[in-house]
Amino acid sequence: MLTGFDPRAKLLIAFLFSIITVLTNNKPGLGACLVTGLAGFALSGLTWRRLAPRLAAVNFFLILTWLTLPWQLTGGYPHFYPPGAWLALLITVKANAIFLLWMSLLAGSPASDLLHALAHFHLPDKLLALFFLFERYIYLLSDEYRRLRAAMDVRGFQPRLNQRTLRVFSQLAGAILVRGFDRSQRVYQAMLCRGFKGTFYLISHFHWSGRDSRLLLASLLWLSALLGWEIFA
Amino acid sequence: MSLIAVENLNFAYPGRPSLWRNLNFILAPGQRIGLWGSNGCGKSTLFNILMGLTVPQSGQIWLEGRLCVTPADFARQRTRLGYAFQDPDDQLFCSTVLEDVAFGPLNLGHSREEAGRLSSQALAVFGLGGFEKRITYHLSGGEKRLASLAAVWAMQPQALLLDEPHVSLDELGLKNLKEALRACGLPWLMASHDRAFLESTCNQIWEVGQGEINAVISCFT
Ligand SMILES: Nc1ncnc2c1ncn2[C@@H]1O[C@H](COP(=O)(O)OP(=O)(O)OP(=O)(O)O)[C@@H](O)[C@H]1O
Ligand SMILES: [Mg+2]
Repeated sequence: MLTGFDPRAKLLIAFLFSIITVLTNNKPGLGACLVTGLAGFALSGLTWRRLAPRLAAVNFFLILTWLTLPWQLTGGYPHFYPPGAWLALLITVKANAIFLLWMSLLAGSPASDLLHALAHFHLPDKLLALFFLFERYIYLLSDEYRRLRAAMDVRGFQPRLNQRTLRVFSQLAGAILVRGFDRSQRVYQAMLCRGFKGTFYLISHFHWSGRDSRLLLASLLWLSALLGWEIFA
Repeated sequence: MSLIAVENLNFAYPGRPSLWRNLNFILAPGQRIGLWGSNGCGKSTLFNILMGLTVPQSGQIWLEGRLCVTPADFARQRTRLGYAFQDPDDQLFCSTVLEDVAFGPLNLGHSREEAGRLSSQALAVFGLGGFEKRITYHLSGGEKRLASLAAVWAMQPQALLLDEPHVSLDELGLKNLKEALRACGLPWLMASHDRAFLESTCNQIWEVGQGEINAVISCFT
């Protein structure tokens, strides 16, 4: 449902929301931020199955904060330390709220659209080129991996927990890196052949429509309410 | 004036025997040359050298009458040659087909509208009308080939370097390619080991191998 909007509007909203969430420290405000993230998810049309593994990945790293922050060593034993627990809770809620909103706003836009939207915010050329190639090479490497893995599988390779499997996988990893590097060189050469001089010129343009303005306006109202709550509460 | 002239070219990969000794040849307007040779005889390497991507041990290369020595010399000349790589995956790197095909024209300084027009035309030539929004890395092998050829076409080059352009194309793709080649009026060097394809498109075939390019071994008109 959120997919049809202009990526520039979505990026702007996600960016502002992140800043405000990071600044918010009062309990009701935090709750509102989390609700905003959840509402975004509900509106986005994302399925729980797509979201869950990614959400799990984010929270896996947050476990670390729960293992360290809420404990204090006194007399050689760890004791529960409430202010630390509050801090861990803050971090967890903020990270999840921000992640939920970014996912629900941006998961529906292809990476190329997001890059173009970023270009419209006049980020430096070098940074954009980096993003652009990053997106491309992630795919390239995973593609290389899939091809090599398929070639291994059709020749009857079955991973087991033994030395041979480890050796084969280390060779696979090496092959992916070397091939990835080789290919990146050839891709770069092909770009040179087509006159690349370090600047990406964009061909497609977005069309900002009335509904984008309405989405932006509604979001800005809600975001300023969140901000006001934090400042005056 | 010759489009490409090569004088006394020598090249060997590190630790490997030389691919040719003192290679000389000229590509003149109207010449449509098929480079015919076995796997590993150095056809792709020759193209890379002509484009300044690989540096030869010795020898001189003139592109459109200009001696090219430094990377800057090559950078100036190379957009005038349309080089289609042997592996289209090396060439397609943008997300969508239109962006990829328009990449060259935009680099040449064309306006967005003009680049879009050139790209659509080039796509139509290869039967890829309607592919503009498709994701390049989800194309089939033959579609990738056609898209990479269209990307070369859209730059309006003065001569073509085609490295096995017919590989993985179906009948319709081949027909489109042959028609585009016939209609373009450009001279070219086309590498292949498919003798029949070379004979049906080129007006001369040169045999590459044994450290040299043999004199014209076939001539058609
Ligand atoms: N980067 C490299 N380093 C070392 N040797 C190389 C390298 N690239 C190619 N070669 C070798 O140089 C020779 C010429 O390779 P090239 O790719 O030019 O052949 P080709 O004529 O295009 O063959 P094909 O018809 O199979 O495409 C081959 O023997 C190849 O193994
Ligand atoms: Mg080759």
